[in-house]
Amino acid sequence: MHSLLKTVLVAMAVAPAALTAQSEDLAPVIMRLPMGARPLAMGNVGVTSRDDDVLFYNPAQLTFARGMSVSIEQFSSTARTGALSTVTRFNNGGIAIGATVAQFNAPIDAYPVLRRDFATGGPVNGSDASLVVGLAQVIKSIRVGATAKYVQEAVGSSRNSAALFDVGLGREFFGYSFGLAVQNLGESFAPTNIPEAIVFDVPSSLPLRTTLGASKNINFDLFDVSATAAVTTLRDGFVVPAGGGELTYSWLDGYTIQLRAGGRRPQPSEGPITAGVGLTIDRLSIDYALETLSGSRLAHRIGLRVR
Amino acid sequence: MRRLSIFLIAMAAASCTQALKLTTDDSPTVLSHQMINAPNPGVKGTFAVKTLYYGSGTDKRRAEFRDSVTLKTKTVDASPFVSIDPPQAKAREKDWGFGTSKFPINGRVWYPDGAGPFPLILIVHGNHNPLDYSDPGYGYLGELLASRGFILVSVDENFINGGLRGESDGRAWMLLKHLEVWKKWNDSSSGPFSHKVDMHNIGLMGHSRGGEAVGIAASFNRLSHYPDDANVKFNFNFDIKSVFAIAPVDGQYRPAGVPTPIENVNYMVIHGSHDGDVSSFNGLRAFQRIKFTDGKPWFKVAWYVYRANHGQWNTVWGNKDNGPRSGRYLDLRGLLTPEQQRQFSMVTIGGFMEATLHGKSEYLPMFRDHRVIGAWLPKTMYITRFQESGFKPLATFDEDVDVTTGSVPGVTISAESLATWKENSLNLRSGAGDALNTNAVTLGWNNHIRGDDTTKIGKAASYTISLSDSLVGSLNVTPQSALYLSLAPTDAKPGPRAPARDTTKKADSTKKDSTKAKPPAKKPDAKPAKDTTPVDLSIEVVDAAGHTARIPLSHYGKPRRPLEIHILRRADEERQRFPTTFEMVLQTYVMPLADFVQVTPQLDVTHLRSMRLVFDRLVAGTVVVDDIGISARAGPFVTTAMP
Repeated sequence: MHSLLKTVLVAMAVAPAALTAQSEDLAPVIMRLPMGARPLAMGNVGVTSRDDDVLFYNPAQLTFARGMSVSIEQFSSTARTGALSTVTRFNNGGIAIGATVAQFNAPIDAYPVLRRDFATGGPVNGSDASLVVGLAQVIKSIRVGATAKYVQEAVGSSRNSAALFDVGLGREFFGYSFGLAVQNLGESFAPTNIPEAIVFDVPSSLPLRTTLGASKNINFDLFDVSATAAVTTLRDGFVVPAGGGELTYSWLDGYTIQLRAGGRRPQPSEGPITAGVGLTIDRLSIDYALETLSGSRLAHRIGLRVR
Repeated sequence: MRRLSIFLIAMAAASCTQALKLTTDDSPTVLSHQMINAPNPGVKGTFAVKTLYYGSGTDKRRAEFRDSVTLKTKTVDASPFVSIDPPQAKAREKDWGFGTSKFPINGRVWYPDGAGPFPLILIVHGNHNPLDYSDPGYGYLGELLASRGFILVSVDENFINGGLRGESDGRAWMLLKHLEVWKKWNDSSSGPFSHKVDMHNIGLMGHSRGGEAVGIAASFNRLSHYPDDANVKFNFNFDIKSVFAIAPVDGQYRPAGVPTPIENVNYMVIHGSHDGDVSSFNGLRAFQRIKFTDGKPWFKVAWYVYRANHGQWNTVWGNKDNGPRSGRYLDLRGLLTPEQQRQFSMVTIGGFMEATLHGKSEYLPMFRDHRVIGAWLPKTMYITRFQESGFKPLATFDEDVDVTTGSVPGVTISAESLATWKENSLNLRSGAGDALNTNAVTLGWNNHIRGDDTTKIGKAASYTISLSDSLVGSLNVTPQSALYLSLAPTDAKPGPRAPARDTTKKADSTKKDSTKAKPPAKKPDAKPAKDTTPVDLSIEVVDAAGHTARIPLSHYGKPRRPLEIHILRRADEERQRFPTTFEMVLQTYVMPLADFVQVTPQLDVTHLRSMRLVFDRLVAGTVVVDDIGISARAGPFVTTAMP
């Protein structure tokens, strides 16, 4: 347990002391949403995950990941998101494809869509979608991966699409798994208005972020404990330390129940606490996660995974 | 709601462990006799036991081999035999304080408090968590053997454990380096072992990978060069008399790409049916290939123990054969208790070492027929293979594809009324990719005559090995000789046999109504129903004058249907991993010809003409048979027999 605590503390320590306030005008909004039920339950830390939805967190980890999953999350009565992904073995790593969607209502027909719009809603229909492909290989004991994403966002009469890229690294050191991911590289996200429409659009920067994380698993007879922690720096300098843990009970090979909890420095409209449970029946896993949002609201995510 | 209930019930059912399935234990009957009157070799003897450590003093992790050594040893360069990837080698060197070029000679010794000389036995563990030290786990054997007048050394090779492959030759070579040290100590004029070691009676024991290593050591011992690099010269030539393998692996090291040849040692291998690590009886392959070529009185034994696992032979390893988490998938409910399992190993190891290193021949019959030591053995079921160096093969089914010829000229094979007669290779339980490297004959019979009368029984099916005069002469067959065969019943049951054609009737085609449709031929059952009737058959011998004598096979051992094995908790995983629910282990039956003479005094076995398996004691069944032969030197093993 000592090493688990150390993992969390190390991650917290590297966070800069001066944490700046975060700007909200980063787009597209779908790139700022959680993308997996299991990572979400652990503070939305997925940079060292070994599940297929790591495609959305750190492509280097696709080296380990296998299977496919789908998950959906409800933020409010008007906002929801979903993700699906699948990974298969390729050479000495993995190759993956995934997609994400989000549907929401916004108060005005304008960019950028804000996270808080998911709670407030509004008269303007909006939707995001992305198609993601990723590849990872092991090069001299280092896991190296990259992701290409095509993202489209539509809010009222505005449309935009862009190509984004993620790159990631992973490596084991001293029994810990480390991951580093730089996500959402690309040109700024400027909408194209539909002629004759009245809009108030501002070109938005991509939500570029860099995440460094670590995780550690400890196995006991019937229980497994894992802990993960990460520090994310956003484009505007906002730093998000986060971490979480998972307690797994397995009474029979292939059958497990997981309890998860996590914490994070909340970004606008987020809350600090996440939690979840999981049930694995042989190759099938069902995961549930909740995240606290601002204003004492909760969002719920449920995922289904086949390994 | 209903759907949810169904889902939850299905989920709960799927998450349950399969019901415990074990073959009904027949040991209360089979082990109801104690025919050997000698002291139980599994019970401590009269010597007071002393202990000490020896070592190279370089071990960072093992204080006993660094600070507590009574005898200091030099390190050895094992790098030609143990290769480790550079990053791992570096990490290991940091952890242990030495690399492969400076392996320590570390051992813990139990020895008798007496003048000696005492036979020397080395035991070496196998692969396990390197930091969960394996060598102390044989302390119970050390206490036993030392009290009975043996020196036992538990060799430390923990530093070779962990994620290494193909290092079994290194494990073996280390044992021989230990013997070199012992020779020096015995030859020296002072020290605790000065002239106290009987270097002419050396035994090696090994567990798991160590079980393979002891066979390799016995092989290397007589070689002048390392087979994989002739620049490495050997000069061992120790008097290794006995080799005992506990649940060994086999074939992880193949000198010059072939299975390790082992010759001219007494060899015994034991294996548990519920071994969750080495889950097939790999040691049977070593048993099969051991050769006795120098005319000396050697023997070999393979002993299969129902409900024993891999780890309980070692008190450190315990019952979870694949580490602490393996209880999640290994079914541990049917296992023998650790005490029972170790009682078995003490009896068999004690008896084997007493017989082979102390020359106590009174223990020899227990290896020919384990039923003679029913009071010593823990109550479970055993299957034993046995062969001594006098064995002359008549039919081992390995030579050719002609089912009518035997293994030597002068043998002719015939069969009568058999439903199944075929020769094929035997596999271990793990499947066709894990061949036992031996062939056997499968014989199936059904004495029922097909038809409406279900009580109609035909002449008993039979399988005959006929011997020529010249062959019998060369085999020097006497009443003191014994017949051998190894056999295992299977669950297959052929359908009733076709009635014999009445050749006295004239064929009359005119009476045939060609317009009538022929009734469809009844197909034999694709999958015969499982039969639990006890299997037995008769062994009949015939002399040149036609005198016959017939004895039930069950007189010489229990012919038992396959013992059911379920190692894993999940039935689906068990099916996926293992093609069968049993290991095909044949029981060896050794049948003194004197017994047949007792049945038919006129029988002249010096003019033996044939040996016949007569399937007259069970209406239908199938058996697998191998290693039919005869021996003129089985005498010491048949002095004690079942009543």
